[in-house]
Amino acid sequence: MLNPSTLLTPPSSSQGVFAICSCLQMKLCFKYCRTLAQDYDISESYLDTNQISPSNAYSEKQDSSSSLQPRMQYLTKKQRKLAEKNPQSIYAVVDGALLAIRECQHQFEKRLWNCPTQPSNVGGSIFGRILNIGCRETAFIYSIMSAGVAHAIATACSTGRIHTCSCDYRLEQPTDEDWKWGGCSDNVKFGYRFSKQFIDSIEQGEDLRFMVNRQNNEAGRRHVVSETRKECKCHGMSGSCTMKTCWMKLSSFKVIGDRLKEKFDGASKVDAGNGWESTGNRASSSSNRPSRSSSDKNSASYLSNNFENSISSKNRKENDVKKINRNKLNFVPVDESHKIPTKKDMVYFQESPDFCTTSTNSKYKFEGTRGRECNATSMEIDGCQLMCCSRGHETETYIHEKTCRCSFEWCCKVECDVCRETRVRNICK
Amino acid sequence: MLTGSLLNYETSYLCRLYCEKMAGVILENLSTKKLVPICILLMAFSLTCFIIGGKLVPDPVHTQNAIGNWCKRQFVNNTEVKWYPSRGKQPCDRLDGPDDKRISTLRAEDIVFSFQYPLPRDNEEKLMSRWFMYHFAIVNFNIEYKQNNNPGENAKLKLIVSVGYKDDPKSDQWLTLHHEREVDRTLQCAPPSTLKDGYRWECDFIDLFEFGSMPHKQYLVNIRLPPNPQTGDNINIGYLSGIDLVWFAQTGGFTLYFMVMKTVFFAMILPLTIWNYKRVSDLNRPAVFLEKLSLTLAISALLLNLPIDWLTLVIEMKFMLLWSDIRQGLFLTVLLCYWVVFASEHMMDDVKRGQLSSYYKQLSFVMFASALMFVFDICERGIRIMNPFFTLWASATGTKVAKAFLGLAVASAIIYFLTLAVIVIKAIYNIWKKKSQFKFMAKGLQVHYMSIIYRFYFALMFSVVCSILTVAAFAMGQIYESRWRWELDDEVDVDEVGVVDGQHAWDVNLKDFKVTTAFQLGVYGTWNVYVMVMLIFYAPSHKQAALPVDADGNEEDERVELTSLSSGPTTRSRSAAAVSTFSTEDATDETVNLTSGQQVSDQHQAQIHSLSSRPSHLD
Repeated sequence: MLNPSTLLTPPSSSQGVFAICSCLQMKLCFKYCRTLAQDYDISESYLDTNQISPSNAYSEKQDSSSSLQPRMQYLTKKQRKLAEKNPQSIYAVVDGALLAIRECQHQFEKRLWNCPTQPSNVGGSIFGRILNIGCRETAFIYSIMSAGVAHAIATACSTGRIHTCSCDYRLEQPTDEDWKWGGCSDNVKFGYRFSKQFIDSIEQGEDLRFMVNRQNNEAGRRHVVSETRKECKCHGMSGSCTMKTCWMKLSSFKVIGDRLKEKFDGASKVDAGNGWESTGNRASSSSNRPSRSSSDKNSASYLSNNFENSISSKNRKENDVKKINRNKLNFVPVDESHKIPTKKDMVYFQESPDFCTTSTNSKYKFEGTRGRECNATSMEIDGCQLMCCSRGHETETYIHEKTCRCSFEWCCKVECDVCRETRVRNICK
Repeated sequence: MLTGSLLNYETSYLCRLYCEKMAGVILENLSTKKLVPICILLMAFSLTCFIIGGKLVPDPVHTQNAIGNWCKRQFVNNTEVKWYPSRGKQPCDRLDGPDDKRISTLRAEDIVFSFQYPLPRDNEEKLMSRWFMYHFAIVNFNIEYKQNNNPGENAKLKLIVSVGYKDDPKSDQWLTLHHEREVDRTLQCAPPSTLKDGYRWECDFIDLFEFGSMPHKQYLVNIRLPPNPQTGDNINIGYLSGIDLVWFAQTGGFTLYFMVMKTVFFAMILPLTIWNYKRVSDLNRPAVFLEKLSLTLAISALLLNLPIDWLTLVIEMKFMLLWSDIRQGLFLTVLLCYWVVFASEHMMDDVKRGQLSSYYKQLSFVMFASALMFVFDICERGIRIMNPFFTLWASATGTKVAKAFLGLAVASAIIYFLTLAVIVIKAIYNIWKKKSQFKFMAKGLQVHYMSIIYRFYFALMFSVVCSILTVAAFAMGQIYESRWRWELDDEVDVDEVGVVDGQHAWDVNLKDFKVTTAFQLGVYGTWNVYVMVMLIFYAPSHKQAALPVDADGNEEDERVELTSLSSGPTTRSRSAAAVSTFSTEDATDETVNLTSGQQVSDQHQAQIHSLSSRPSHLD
């Protein structure tokens, strides 16, 4: 049994890196992650040492240790390209993953499945095998990861850490003149686009699972964008509002997490819509899944190859239909009373596993709810009945030591008195 | 007999108004053939400004939201490191925000927020340019809601601000603009809509500084917030998760278009003013009030357009922002005065006007508001020339004073526009009423006066449109922008390369037409066009002297004038018809009388009396 407190502690940075590897790439990549984690830890010292050009950024690394190139091989080709094109971005991606994991654990602390992460030496994804199925929880992980990356990249643009954030993709090669002429400030859009390219690059298949993953990724990113607040300042003549300038400000990630949790609660189970032969595709996808965990090859291309093979036997006409439908996500909610999901909605296609059975838990590397705190008076999911899987709970009184009458310094120091009070808590058996 | 007297009264009345007071202006005497093209040309000018603003000019203001980097304050040999750049060859010792592991070992005064801007884009360090004209910044405190740690009401802030600059992007040497300036502000925050940990308090922006010019290439702002329990500075501010700095500058494209526009208008208005002045001074009578006011308007428009802005590209002119405010304020004041006088002069009632003192009631509101704004501006922007960190809004008293000033100014402006509306409506009503009486006139005379009336009607309407546009431009900022939400359209698809289609969702524009910018430049253009219209059409006409003298001479003159203007046969016949009516006994009698009245313009009352009595005498 694990102490619940350790489960809820914020993940260390190495976990975050691992999350990138295993969640974003769905792939086991120890070596890369460990090196990257080390990079991350030492990154404080060299991160901002004026590496404007990509060659600069990497030359220093090549001197100190092995070249980055071999490590990058664990990323897909497109991800590698992106990371090379945007030096420092990989660290923002790691930041984003950490942010996402922390938020996921915060959002799920009162549910059976509480977004547990595993130590990186266990193997498999940091979230366990839950990523291999297509349930609600999976949808949330995908969404929040995608959102975390978009948020972190946009933040890094605004702090000036990433030098390649772009003003406008419509112009082929923005010049200095364009900057003087009209300026630019669009970081949120860059974060959105980066996240899309980076994360969706491993979901480029046409089976329902990929479609669902892409949909959930998109939902996460879109929430980052739509929770961005417009702030305006009037600065016309004598401060009047004849001149009013607005800019975009990222919301705190907590807000995005809350919105995504709402979408999680309202997620609908979907089935493939028109032009799909859902059974065939689903069969092919489920046969693909187990093979990825140990594969050392590029998972996305491997999968898409497999996928190509599986559809090659089908007739061409059907393939064309799919091509047409590809850009338009086409889901049909299983429950017909549900609305067709919009781009901001989460979808799933498999029921969540029963987190109360030990066999499931061992499969998904979920520790179970033993030792978790529950709410004795609630009939909801945080209530002891549901939380403890009908095993019952123990009630104990304890003296709670709490800081009180604190005086804070805005960053660093807190001077508090200690107040003691007696509290009751319920713990699952 | 009654009709006769009415007719005479009317004729005399109109002449008194238009011939005598204005001594015959061009608007009245110009042939339609010439009038229409001039009007169309000027309208086209105004419209061009709108279209240029909407289509060609980029957004007027360049802004970037820079998130502060947390840096650790460093000492080398017991001397404090002066600059903390967030990137470059020697960046600061960067902390990972409030969650950094080292944070508990530090003191709050050891944390420096570093903003180095402009931010790099497209893999290169961007540089500021003199074309950006001005430069000001605000800071935004991101304070997260915590159950046990929240900002107090009106918490006192003392920011220790250093501003450095670099003109050579390759160098690593930051030069000092301001060092360790103490900037006192108050932090005013409203609780977040959802009282949950992690949500942000809604804090008012904090004005940091304002520079009236942009002479340097790169800027570095370092801010420290040392807590001081004795004075209460930086104590009660809650959980600070970061500081954002938003800087603003004019975009180069806007600067160019605006300066070209000013130069063009200056070049157009200057000769017109001289021409108008010559015409007025050539008269053998002192200029009437409206003429004097027209010239004042022209001079203030010249000041408004005076293209000294070009000099900022060469030399540093810190006073430009103040100067821009003053010249715009001056122009608006004169323009507002002009409207009231112009509309009142066409009221067609029998109230005696014609000098500044007759308008003191209406104009006092304008003057009052302008004076308030002027004092406010001198205090705010004037002091900022010396101390860029100064703002009236920083202290509680200053805020009260500033609010009182602005409140009074806005109230005066509202009263003014209500007054103006009343005057305009009265004028329109009177014209309409008088028009209905024209049917008693002889046909030719009726056509003549109708045409004059219509022309004045047009001038009045142009004034009204101009004032509505001015009000709309002021209201624009408030209403328009809030309609747009920062959201990707759900239907917008994202294509293969990740380009987001449907850019309209991101920008404040309608199908690529930037309404705000269009309004800004369009209204500016319309003001200038208005000034030109008034200068051209309200200049004294050379024809006026001939009209009252005698019927034959008048006719002669009219014909000559019309021929020289190469007017078509239609106009000529119409004018001829009008003129032939003039050569009746009545008209001659009238005009002779008016000639005398013109010289002694103060004797209206007597005049009217004598005029109305004359027909009966003639009978």
